[in-house]
Amino acid sequence: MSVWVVIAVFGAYVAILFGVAFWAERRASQGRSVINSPLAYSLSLAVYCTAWTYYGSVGRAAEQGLGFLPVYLGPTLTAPLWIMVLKKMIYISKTQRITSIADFISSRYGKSATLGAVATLVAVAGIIPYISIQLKAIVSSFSVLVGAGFQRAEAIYLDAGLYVAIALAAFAILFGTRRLDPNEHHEGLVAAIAFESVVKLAAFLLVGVFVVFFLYSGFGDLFSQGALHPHIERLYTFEGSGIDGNDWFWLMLLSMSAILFLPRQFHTAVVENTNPGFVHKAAWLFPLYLLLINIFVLPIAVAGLLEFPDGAVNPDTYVLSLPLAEGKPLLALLVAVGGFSAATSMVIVAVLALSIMISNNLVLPFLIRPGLLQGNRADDLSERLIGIRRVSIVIVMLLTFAYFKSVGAGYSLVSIGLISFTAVAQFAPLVIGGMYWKRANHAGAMAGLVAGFVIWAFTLPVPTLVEAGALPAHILAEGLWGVAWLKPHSLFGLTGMDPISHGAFWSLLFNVALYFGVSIYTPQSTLGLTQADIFVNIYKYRSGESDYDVLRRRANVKDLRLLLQRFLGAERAEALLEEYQRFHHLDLSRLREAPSDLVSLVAVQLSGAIGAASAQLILASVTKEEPLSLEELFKALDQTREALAYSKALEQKSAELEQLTFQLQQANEQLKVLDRLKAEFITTVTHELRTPITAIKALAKIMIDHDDLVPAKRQEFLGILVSESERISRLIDQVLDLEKIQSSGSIQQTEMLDFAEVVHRSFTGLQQLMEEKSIEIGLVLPDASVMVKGDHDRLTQVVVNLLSNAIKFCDARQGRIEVVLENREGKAVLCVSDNGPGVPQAQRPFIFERFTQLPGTDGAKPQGSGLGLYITRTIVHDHGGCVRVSDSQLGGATFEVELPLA
Amino acid sequence: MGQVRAKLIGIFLLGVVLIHFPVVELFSRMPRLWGIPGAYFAIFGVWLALIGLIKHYADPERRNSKSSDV
Repeated sequence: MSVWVVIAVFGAYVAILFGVAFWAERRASQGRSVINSPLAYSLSLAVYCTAWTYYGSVGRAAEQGLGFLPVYLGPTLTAPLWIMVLKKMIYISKTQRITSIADFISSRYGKSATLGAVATLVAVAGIIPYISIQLKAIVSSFSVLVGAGFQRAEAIYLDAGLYVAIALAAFAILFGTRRLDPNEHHEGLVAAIAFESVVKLAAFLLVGVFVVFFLYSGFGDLFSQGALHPHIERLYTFEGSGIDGNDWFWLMLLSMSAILFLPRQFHTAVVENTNPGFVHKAAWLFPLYLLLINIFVLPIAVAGLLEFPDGAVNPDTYVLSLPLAEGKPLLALLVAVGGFSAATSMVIVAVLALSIMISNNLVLPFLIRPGLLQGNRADDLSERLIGIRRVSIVIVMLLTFAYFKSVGAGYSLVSIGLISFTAVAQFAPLVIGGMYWKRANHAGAMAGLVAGFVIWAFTLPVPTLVEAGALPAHILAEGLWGVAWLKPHSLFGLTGMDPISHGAFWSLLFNVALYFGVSIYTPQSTLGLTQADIFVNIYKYRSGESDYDVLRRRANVKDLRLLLQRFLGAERAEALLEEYQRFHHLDLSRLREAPSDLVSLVAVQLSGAIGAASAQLILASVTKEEPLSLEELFKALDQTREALAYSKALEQKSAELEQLTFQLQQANEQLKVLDRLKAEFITTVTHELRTPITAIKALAKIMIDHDDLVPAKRQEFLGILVSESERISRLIDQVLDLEKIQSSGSIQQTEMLDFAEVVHRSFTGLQQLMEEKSIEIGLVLPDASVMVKGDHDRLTQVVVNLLSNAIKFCDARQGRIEVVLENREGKAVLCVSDNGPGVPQAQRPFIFERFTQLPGTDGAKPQGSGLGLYITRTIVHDHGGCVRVSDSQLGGATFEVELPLA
Repeated sequence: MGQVRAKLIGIFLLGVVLIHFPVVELFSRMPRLWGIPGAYFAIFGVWLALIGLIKHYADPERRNSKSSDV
């Protein structure tokens, strides 16, 4: 086949690719995205299937039977877990504007610039050889198509590789770095990748169907024919193909991590993802894609071995050699285009992903200096950032080409690919642990990653460099520095494993052990803690349940505006700020200091443009405050404590208040009772006043109206008038007395006094009255004085009251009154007895209450005011004593007053 | 969600058991069916079954439309 035909076809294919990408970008700018569907998303994930899958799998199948399968079974097994793991990665990356796997790791472990740089180095070292074998595959497919003469002209061979590299770099630059998008969404590029996935699957199925159904009559026929040859039949079983559980396990494990953590997979699955919901469909569509692209691999290998029994044809090229051998050059050309698409899609995405890492995590953190924003250089840094990105792409391509030229030519697709897988597997503990284990910290991540990387480099790439002549051969045979247990292929004396399993085992063992061990025994930084919490509890943050800002940073609005303009371009910056103002109803031009959520917004936007670590550095140059220091944390804690103490005090206060309220309520009740009593009292008093007044009024009226009244009658009436008036005045006196007692409360003026003297004096005062009424009287006083403490006047009143009552109620004709004072058991006891009607048992409980009146001696009319005994009891109580009534030996009542002796 | 999660993890574990040693070795000892090697037949069969299971449990949209069809 003519070289020019091949070149023209491939050139045309590249032109179509550009066309698809342009078309997709135009559609996107019209708002009709072609990649915003689960199907396109799943197809873009199929960038996993490279020239390795396309050519290399058949080659491996020809040697190891089903030994090529774990690389595709691993992703299938993890697919159901994507719903948890991949979706979480997407959510985290969207909120944190993460742009690459290195950025993810750097961001998780405290936005560490050094960790990001190390991760980038791991990725670059691991992936460059992988990219270069894609170039090799493309060039090999050329040579197969064109014929044997091609390979001899080494200049052309290398040139072909160079031209392909240039074309792919141009594509990556054109569609990967058109503008600086903080979301890193590249519509055209993703559309082209999805398109390529369709092409490679269709082409591979085409050749598969051709081989199985045209060269042979179906699977059964092909396998049966193969079974006739022992060297083919051995491929049908695991024992025969020499696959053991160890290799199978390690390949599966490596591919499980590769499907999400290879830089290009992370880029398509996470960074370019436009809708996390697509994961649900991709979780079965992508495994289905893998199944379809693998179903013909073993049959083609078998057919190839049958067709070329002498081993003259490299099994890696069976897909091309078979159609050519059968005289179908056009089919071969189509299949080669499929292989070309598999290789180019991988190269484009891998180069883009690496260039983002290199610029954001390797170059920028070391370019950014505090002085970057000083001065009046109003130039737009976003242009320069794109420049850095483009240069990175070119550098990656140059490195790839250099590797291709020097080393790569000697190695098979699969072995180089697996070395890359093992490198990338070093990310797995950091990413998975980082999403589910909060304790994981920067030191642990760094220790694990570095250890894993060093062991990987020693066990896997070093031997390839030795074989390429770049390193002395004795390392392989005798170990590093001649130490026997430092042989790359049998580290620490471990033999019997294939190099990949061996390297994967040791590197991951040390990686995981150090990652966990160091994380447990070292402290976490404040920022690290914040990031850990965001990554582990991303759903909490997304649902807005926890939007607390541990990063308290202050910055000038002017500085932030400048930053955004520099890194995103003036237009985008203004649009962003405009949106922020609208959302928060703020006028930023009036503010000097930016609100902390604006700082966070700028941080996120910058992270999208230049990576988390670089954004962190940049922001540090304009923000005044770093994440909360320990001191501030303590301050916050103190404030919390103060608040707690305050609330405790409040509680106490409220309890006191409650008590007070209770007391007030009680007082109020008492007042109400008193008020009621007062009202009752007044009603009674007025009633008591009205009775004599009515009598006085009636009698006086009679005397006015009847001049002719008999003098005796008039005399009688006047007598009644006088007695009734006396009754009124007595009542008023007593009310006044009562008022006096009650208003003064308990007794005020207390003095030592002789109660016997008080009794004697009062008795003497009333003696005249009693003799007038011819009452028989008796007074018994003790010899000694009876000293009590009290108010003289009031105690006098007590004695007078009791005597008056006795006089009032004693027998009208033969009255007898006896007054006895004695000193009984440390108490002064005064007994006043009469021979009146006495107090009936039923009345006794009430006799000392106000306005309790007993009928007088003549039976008809009550004589007292009803206040005397009440006053008596009140005074006695005030003096700490008590008063009782009982039957007297004279036949009437005895009132007994007890007063404590002083 | 917890239910679905448990089922998805169950699919993963089922796959690990079926597509791994020693079970795959059993497949490989199976006689050829219609001329097709047992291991090839069984592994692709399990693969397809896993895809079906994932589709059933991981793709709720599909499940919804299915249940609304019924």
